[in-house]
Amino acid sequence: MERRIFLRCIGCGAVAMAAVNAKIWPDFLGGSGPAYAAGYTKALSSKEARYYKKLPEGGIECGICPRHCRVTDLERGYCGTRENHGDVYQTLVYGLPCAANIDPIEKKPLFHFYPGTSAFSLATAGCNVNCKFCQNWDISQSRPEQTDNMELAPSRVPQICIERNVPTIAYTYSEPTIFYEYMYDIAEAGHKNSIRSVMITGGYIESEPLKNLLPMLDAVKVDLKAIRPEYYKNIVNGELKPVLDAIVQIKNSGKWLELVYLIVPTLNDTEAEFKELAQWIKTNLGTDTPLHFSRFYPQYLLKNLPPTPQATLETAHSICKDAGLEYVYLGNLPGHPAESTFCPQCGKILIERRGYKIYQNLLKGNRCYNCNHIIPGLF
Amino acid sequence: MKRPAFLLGLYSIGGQVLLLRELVSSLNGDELFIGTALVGWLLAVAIGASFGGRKRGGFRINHLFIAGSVILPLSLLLIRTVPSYLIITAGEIIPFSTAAVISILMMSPVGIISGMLFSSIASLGYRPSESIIQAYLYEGIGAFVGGVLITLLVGTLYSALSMAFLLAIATIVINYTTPRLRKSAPAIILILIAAVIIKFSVPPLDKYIDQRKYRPYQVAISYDTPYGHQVILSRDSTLTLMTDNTVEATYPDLMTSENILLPPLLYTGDSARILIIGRAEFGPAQLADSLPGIKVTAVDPRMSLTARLNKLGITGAGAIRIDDEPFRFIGRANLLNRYDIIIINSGEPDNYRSGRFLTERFFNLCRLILKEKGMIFLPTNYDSDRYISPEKKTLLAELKNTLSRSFRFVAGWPGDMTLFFASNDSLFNLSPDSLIARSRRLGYSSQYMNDIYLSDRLQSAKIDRLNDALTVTSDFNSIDRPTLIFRQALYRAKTGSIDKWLLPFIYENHLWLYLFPIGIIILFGFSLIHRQKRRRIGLCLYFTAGLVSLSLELISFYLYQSSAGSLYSEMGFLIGVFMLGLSLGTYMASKLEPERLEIPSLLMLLISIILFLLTHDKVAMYALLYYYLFFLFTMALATAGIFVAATNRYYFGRSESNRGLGYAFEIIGSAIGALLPTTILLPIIGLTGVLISLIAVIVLAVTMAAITS
Repeated sequence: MERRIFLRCIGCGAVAMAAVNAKIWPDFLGGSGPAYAAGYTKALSSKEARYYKKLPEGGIECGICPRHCRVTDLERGYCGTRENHGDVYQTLVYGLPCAANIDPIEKKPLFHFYPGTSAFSLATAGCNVNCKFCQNWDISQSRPEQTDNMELAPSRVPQICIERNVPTIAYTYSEPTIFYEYMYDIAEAGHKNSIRSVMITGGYIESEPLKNLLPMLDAVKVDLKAIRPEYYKNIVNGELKPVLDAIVQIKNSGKWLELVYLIVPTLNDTEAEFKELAQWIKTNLGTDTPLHFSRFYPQYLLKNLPPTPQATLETAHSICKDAGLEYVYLGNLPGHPAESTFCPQCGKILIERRGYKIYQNLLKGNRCYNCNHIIPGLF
Repeated sequence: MKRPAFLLGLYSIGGQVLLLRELVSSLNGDELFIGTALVGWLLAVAIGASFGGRKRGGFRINHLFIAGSVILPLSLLLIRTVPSYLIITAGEIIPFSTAAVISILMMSPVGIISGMLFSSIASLGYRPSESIIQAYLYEGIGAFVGGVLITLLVGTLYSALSMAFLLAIATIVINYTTPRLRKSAPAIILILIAAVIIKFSVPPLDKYIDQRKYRPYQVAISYDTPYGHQVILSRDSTLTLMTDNTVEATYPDLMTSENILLPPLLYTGDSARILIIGRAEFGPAQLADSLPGIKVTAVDPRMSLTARLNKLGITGAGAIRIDDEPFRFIGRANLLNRYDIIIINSGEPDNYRSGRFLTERFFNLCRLILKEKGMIFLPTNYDSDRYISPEKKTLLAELKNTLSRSFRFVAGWPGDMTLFFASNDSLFNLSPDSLIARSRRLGYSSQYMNDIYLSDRLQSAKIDRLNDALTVTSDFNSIDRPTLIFRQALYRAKTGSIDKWLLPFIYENHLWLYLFPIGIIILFGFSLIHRQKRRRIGLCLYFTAGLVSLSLELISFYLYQSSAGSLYSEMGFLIGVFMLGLSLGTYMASKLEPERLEIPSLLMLLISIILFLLTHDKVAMYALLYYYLFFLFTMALATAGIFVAATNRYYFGRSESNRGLGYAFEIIGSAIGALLPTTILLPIIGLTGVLISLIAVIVLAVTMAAITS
């Protein structure tokens, strides 16, 4: 046999084998139906996004978060959910949540916001940061075409809440800033139907969009991930200062605010950091702002880091209490006294909690049953 | 030549096993990673052999052994410390792509030296064919001795690092010792003294390295088991068990303990005999103490931690601890003393070792020791509380399908940890309200299984979403087609920027796999049309022997591990018998007429694979070890025959040939055998498909040999 003929045979064989490829191998993918909508969709939205400007040299600059992504045609911003189509910036996730659940409001956690009620919680794919410990990384670090999304129009969300007797909508799991338009329209529709809205956010949002959004919201919980800029740089892939600015802006707006600080062992768990945190809250927000210390469990990229020791959480709690903060809570430690709300004036227990369960609520309106001290929040 | 070849076998197998073990332990390796690391090793050996073969007279063997002895423990130290410098954050996982590059780099120095040693040793004789055969023979004996020693000593008497030091010293001492037994007594005494010194001096170094690696934590205990490396860390009154650099358990961690022990009790009542597959010392055993009427037995093949934990103040008297391989334990269990609940707490199916408890065969075994109304309980680490990604859906569906093949009723609970229950009795026809009511009646005040927690977890919308997810595929995990670990690899790959493109390409885009059969056809075809085709086919035989033998060796280990368990002493025998078969086969074949050797050897290999294909799943548990020993020995004999035949074909009458070239072809075949069949093809085309593919390669080789003989 000549070499040329031999090679030709090989070429023909390869083409033939490639042709039968699709027939031979099994299909490993599948699909299924969601909980709150008629079916999943792979289609993406093309609604025009807010807060962007066209650049003179072409392309656009996003203004929703401090990242200020400059995006050329058919490219996406860092969050992966906003795309430039001929210098029209589009949100790809409008009306397309991938997660929707009814959660206890304590799960957010919001402890001074209608305790014992529930919240219709939803999220779309994408996020504007990349926390190495993200517990929702399946959602936040995916692009919308990689998740199973439901078609859920903003006007439909309050209806679901009414049907299921849920008083609040929570924008949560991933970062709601990246589905700002969807969140805004739902919140607006919710208010028309007397359904409240709460935003569970990392606070990495620009001042202007936040200012316009706050009237639509009833409460905001901010994940303040650390009090040191290098943590934001190395672990979160974001910046601390804009987050602190956003927190102050929310507080000044008069909307109800609670903070969560996830203690990640060895990364943000020194006593000095807890002291700095307490001092910053005291100075900028006041001692009556609730602060939750949350327990880290190995997730996402930090799978090889142990959970937060209970003793570390207790140290953080006592440091912040000693610094004068009045409402300091510990999360993911059911049965711990620091899950409950105590009157800062007389020390009596006011709301006794274990996990998401309220065992007793002794508040009279928003006052302590014993000393009549006003407890901040919405009860 | 005999002594250096023996020493090469000892050094080479020792180095390979220790480096692989260390890489898997430090970098959380799965099968794809092991395959890649093996390929790195084999290619390095091939490069070394080819390079060494070009130099007339080879390199100075003494120098190479000294260099190798220094490099081996250094490589081990580097493997332990390098990952800490590659990641920015403590506790961060290392993506597969990075780990694969590290593994290839770390395997290379020892591999290259082994290859150079082979061709240099083979250059010692006058006639290449004879000297190469002799090198194979004594290298095989050395590898047999080394394999058995390493497997028996590491994790029992010595840590991996200690063993590397001991091997390095032994290599240098033996290299400079006279082969006469009477005069070698000082050398033996020297090695024994070194063994004693190393036994006591290296463990503090192990602990020091761990202390550096887990710096903010206190290393309470650091030790090796036959299965890997474990460290118990202490910080803020919390202990953490790190197994192979990953968190296996934390104490106290009530959430996990309650999730592992309490949910099945809501179905069976709070009086039960429970068998836990896996460690129970970190939480479940202590929780069992608080549960009246519960008898917990925990079976795990790794050494007991009870005495060590007692020293650290953790006690768990409520559990009976058994140090045994679960497969063997169940095989010998008293059938009059069956269990109400078997809890499989084996962790995520990151590799075949942990995945072996999630197969239909293991579930069927468990069924034998369950009471009529007993159940299997499978707590997983997959979060299905808020959202279930497409990759996770497939993983969960496969787990459920696998359980369904052994049990009539299977139920799943959503939550931060998705839980599966399986039974042949309709235990699961209970509404969430009934379960919540039962949780109130447990003789224990639960923190994470209380009514509010359960009513959130067992919402109908969440259960519907999970049940919906469980229908996405009809695939199941079996020994014949172990898809679960590759689903897990794809799921894990989503966290890495390169991995998320690379792994789907490897596992889901199958077109590239055609390159291998095409490559083999081209290799054989070109050899056939070459003007020295008789000699060229010799190189093809080298390639065939390497490809088929390593594929079958790894398939045997996988199958033995999946059907009999993973007892290291037995794995040592399996490796040892294979190496012994190679040596004996080489010796016997070298005494035969070369022309009469190759086709009978190829046919012997072919017949042994066909018989293996027809019988491997019909062997009784007690006979498994003997079956695999016999298969590996037969296969090694046949492979050795092919090596000798190939050597005679290619080298006969050519004293000036590159004596490493044939070895290099064998290694390339072995590299493909290490990477493809068990790591990539097994989940895609299944075991039967892989064995038939190997049969096809042998048939091709037989045809070529017949045409050109």
